[in-house]
Amino acid sequence: MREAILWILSFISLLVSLFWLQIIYLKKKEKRIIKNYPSISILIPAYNEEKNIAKTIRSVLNLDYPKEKMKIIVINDGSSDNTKAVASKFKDVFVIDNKHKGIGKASALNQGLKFANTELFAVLDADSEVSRDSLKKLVQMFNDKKTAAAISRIKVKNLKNIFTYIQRIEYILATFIRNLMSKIDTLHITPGVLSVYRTNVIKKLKNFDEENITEDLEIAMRLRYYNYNVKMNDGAVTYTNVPSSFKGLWGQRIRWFRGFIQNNLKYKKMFMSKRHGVMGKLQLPLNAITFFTILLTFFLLIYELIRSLYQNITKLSLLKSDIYYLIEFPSLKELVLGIDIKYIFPLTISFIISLFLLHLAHKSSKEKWIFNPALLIYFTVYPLLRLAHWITAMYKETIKGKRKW
Amino acid sequence: MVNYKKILLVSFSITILVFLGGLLLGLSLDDTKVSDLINNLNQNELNRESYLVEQEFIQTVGGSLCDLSSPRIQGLSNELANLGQLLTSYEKASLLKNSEYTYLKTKYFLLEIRTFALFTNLKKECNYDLNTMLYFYDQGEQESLNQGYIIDSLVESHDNLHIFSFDRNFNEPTLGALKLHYNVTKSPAVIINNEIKKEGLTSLNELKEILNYE
Repeated sequence: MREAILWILSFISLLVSLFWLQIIYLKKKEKRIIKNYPSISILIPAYNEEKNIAKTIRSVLNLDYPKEKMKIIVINDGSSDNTKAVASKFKDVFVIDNKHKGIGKASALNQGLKFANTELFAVLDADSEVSRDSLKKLVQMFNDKKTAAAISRIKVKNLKNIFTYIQRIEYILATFIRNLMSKIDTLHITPGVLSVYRTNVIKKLKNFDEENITEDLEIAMRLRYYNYNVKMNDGAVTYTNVPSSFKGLWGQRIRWFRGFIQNNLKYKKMFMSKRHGVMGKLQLPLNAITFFTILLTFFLLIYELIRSLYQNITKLSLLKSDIYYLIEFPSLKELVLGIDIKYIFPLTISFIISLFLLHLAHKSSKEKWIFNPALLIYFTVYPLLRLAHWITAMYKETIKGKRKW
Repeated sequence: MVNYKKILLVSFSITILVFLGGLLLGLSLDDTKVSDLINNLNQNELNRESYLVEQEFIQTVGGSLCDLSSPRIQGLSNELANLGQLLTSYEKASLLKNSEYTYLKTKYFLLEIRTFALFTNLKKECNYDLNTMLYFYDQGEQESLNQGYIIDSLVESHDNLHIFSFDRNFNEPTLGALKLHYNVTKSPAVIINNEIKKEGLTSLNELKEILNYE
């Protein structure tokens, strides 16, 4: 039974990976030349960001974009520090207070949207920075009328410990996958680190959902639901601070994964729907498969853990100090011939797939492999932590635990 | 227009091919394991035969059979134990439970019975300080597994204990006769020095007491 589950899991992983691998080599022509740059508002929601906001604003002011067409709006979401004062020092920046402070980023964005009377608007987290040409590159994606949002390539800014280095690997992989999704028109996330939207479309769809914990995923899925496109330009580079502690990372991931579950359920009508094309018939079933794969892996792991724990406790209770005599190391031949192909084959396949995908992700991002303990942890302990994130998120969504952003 | 059906079909076909490759790899590893076991069995039989020839020679030219046997029995016992471990671990890890393992197990159990008879005789004739234990188990049964841990730790700590383990449900006439002789009705069961029979899980302390180990 266990072997069968493992084989099924690795079969699915290989099948899905091979599918994406073929997508890499799909050539799709996109018209990216633009003559008249549209007007754009940059919305920067900020909560207690006095340390980062100045850098963020400076990077926006440094953007290579016609200044007369750009409006910078900082939405102070009830900060208790000097965020508002710091932002107000910049003369070209419009600072507003969120009247409904503290209820979430979506509320702050909706407040800012009231002042966005431009053709496009961008959302930029207050702890992030943009590269000079990023906005121009994103705006180019709006040549197609059906495109309602465009996202950038996010890089980790604060590389300082194991947690941030692990997230660097994740961001490289996420960018790679988002790029592939963009190629087949199934991209359904618009992260807060510089995503550009068509203002009239978002206003027509009644702005950001203030009840949602991942408004960036919700709005992108809503756009998909109404058959709008979300595109990615991996040439538009942005930088963000990621959580640098276990607690910070835990909280963020639980929120993200709860958002994934919440929004996939919210837009379940798209599942296998003809009207939603590839998104309905391919991407959402893939999301569902991912979800069930995680559940299966979890149960398998728990079963193995309990089994091994039970065996060891039994051994200890039967043998007490004599357990020492059972410790022995097999010879190389015994080790090789003792390989249980039923376990080793699917595990090896899964490992090779992840290694290969990561290699391709690095290559496409023009990022170098960094060989440090974080890489080892990413392949060994981290998958267990991710599993724990998922299971906690599932549990909290099931019991409808309090949502925080 | 992207042909997703074609992409999925190609992905599916490659996945099937990779998994078929894995299956072939597993089967070829199984073959290597079986050859390794056959080599080990042959080597074991050869060593046993060499010992018997030596015994015959000593009997013909006159000499002490017991002096000759002493250094060799430990070797024979260790080889047999290693072979048993290999057989168990290889069979557990085999991709398809094929008839070859049934054949190898039959040969192994017969070799064990022969060696057990030899050891029993030597103990009687030469008054060796050795203990024999016949161990009957049920594959996959927790109690048998627990008895296995106990016996393994005992063997590792006492050189003069020689174990002969048998799958109680294995269908082989000689093994059937052995079970009948000792009236083995359930697993795990141990027969110590041809005299004491214990059915059900026997604790480490109890076994140590019976065998005078402390």
